Amino acid sequence: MQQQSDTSTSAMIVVKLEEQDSVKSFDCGDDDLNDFILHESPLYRKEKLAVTYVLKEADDLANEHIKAFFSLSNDRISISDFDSKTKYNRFSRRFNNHKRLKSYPAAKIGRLAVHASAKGMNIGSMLLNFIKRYFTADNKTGCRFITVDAYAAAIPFYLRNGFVPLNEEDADEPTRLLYFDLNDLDED
Amino acid sequence: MHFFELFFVPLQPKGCEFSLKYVFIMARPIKETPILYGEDARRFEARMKERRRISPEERARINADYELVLGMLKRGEELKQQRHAATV
Repeated sequence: MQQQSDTSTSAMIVVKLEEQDSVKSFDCGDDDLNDFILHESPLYRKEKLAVTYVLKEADDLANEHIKAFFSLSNDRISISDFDSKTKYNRFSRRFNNHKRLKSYPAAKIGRLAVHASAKGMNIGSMLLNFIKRYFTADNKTGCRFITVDAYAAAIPFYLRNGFVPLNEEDADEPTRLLYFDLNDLDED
Repeated sequence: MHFFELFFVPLQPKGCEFSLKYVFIMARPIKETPILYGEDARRFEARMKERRRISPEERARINADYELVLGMLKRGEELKQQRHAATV
């Protein structure tokens, strides 16, 4: 399986989309994800909220046949000593300077999708493995977790790749937040 | 971002050539990561302290994928710079 992805992706490049870059067509089988790469990713880029990378053939100058994309942004996971948001809010209103939160730096995969024609080639796992290692190989500013806003249909894929749900609140929503602890990659 | 798409749906009511259907499409915004409270927070902290180990095979696969995609990223940057230099 792995060899399959290596040989079929040997002529490919990964490019970070700039503000002026657009993707002409993309179909991963999900309208929402298609709309993100076709229309919304430049807006996230413009507002410096997320950066999108595309995997494509080196000669695809107009981004007409991209194979996959993923978007990344900074994130954090914060935990509170309180049992509920209501109790936390009540406390913070009374004591303005008391933070009572612990935060851990993270990087978020906002969206990740593979073109319908490239499914089954292990490209999704390949990109996920890249992202995991990317933030540990040259960890310039500190990053402990990878979070992902996963579409319900993709949740089994992320679970297989070591991600776990962040909480139970969004268990039945169209997307669910999952995380991966980068310390899991540490060698003994 | 809002936009509309126009679909032609053939012969829905009998005798009609076509009917028009406006479909409103808007990509779902990327969800914010919430603050964890109560049991969620405790579960998260407990898991942070657990030591999980990936197998050497899994580590090798992750490293190989990282090197492969990093190479693609570098090649992409080089091509972009070459094209930029050629247009200036």
